Amino acid sequence: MARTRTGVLVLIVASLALILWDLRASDTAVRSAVSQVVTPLQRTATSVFAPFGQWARDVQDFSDPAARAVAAEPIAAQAPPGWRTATGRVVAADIGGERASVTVDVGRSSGIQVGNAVLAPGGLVGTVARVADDSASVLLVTDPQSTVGVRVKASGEMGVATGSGMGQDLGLSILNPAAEIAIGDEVVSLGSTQRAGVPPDLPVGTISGLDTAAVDSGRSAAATPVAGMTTLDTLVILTERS
Amino acid sequence: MSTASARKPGLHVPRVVIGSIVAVLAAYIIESSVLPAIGLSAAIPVVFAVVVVLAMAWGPTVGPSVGFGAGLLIDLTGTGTLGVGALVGCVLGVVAARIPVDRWRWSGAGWATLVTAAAALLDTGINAVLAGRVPSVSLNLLWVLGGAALCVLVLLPTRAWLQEAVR
Repeated sequence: MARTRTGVLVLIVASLALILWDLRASDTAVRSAVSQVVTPLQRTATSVFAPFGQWARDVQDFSDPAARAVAAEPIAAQAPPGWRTATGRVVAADIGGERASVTVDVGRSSGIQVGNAVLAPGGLVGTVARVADDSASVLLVTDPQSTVGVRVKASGEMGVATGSGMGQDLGLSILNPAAEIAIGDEVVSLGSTQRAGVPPDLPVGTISGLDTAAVDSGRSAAATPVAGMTTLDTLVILTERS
Repeated sequence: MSTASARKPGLHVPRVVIGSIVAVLAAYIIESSVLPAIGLSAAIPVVFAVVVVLAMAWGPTVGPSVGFGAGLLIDLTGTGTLGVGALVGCVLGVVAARIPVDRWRWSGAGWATLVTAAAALLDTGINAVLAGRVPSVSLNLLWVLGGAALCVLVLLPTRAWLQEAVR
């Protein structure tokens, strides 16, 4: 019994040490190695079980590059001119509690880098948070850790869209307290000048609610994301501007 | 009096190790890939439910180790802070191994469901706090609670078989 208690104590101390270590300097090498082992298993499981579910579309032939290109075509058409793209398929989801991220079956070997914009039918759904050789973790815009610089297309007002959890609308903080915005206005990405970041003018969502009380620091609103996050399937990643 | 005859039969360690790895990995693949592929939520805590059932079957020495390993796998493949899942899994293994059970195959199902769901919510909550957010309750709570109950009801009857398999 004493040995069991000591063992538990060691494991708890090890856990706490890992937490402190990760908070100081997040390790990507170990996570990348684990992804290389787990992702092929996830890919196989998804291929086997997808015909029974919502992801049945084209799955049988998805390993075929031609079928992959066909599935990606309407999504890649949203990419701004001059951007290289990679097509991935969602093979795993981490949407427990508030978390909202998915794993795609393409990674560094396809040119994907951390910070790349990820598109689904409709527009921007997230950014690459972590990348391994043949897989990448995508932080969805609905994850509370996600913040995306945005612009209300009709008025040009700038703001920030923050995730509020799976199934929830995005929280919008518009910088101008007197901003003239209306329900139904389209919200697009503010964009950056980085070669591998989020380009401007990608659809992010549609304003679905307005906070009537404007405050000095800005104005709050809610926006419905462009795509249903629980039914993501084929995703296109903007890898680099050529 | 022979002391050997009074000693409880020990666990076959290699079988426990291999069985734990296979069970946890299978549960992880089901939770992260199979459930979303068939249109169910990945919030269903299959991995933690497996930890609970293994801890109930194999006792307080194995439970925390399996929980630690399972939690570490979740940490390494997810977006949360490394070590949070391991800590939650370890504590879950300790608690689950102490759930009182009798010979009925679903004995302890209520407590098992409760600790499974609590572990899933705790994992999310601690990760949210460490990321500087206030944890909130969402619709996923229904998936977590209902999923935990379903997993426990399906897995718990294997407890007697699991005990026999490692003797």
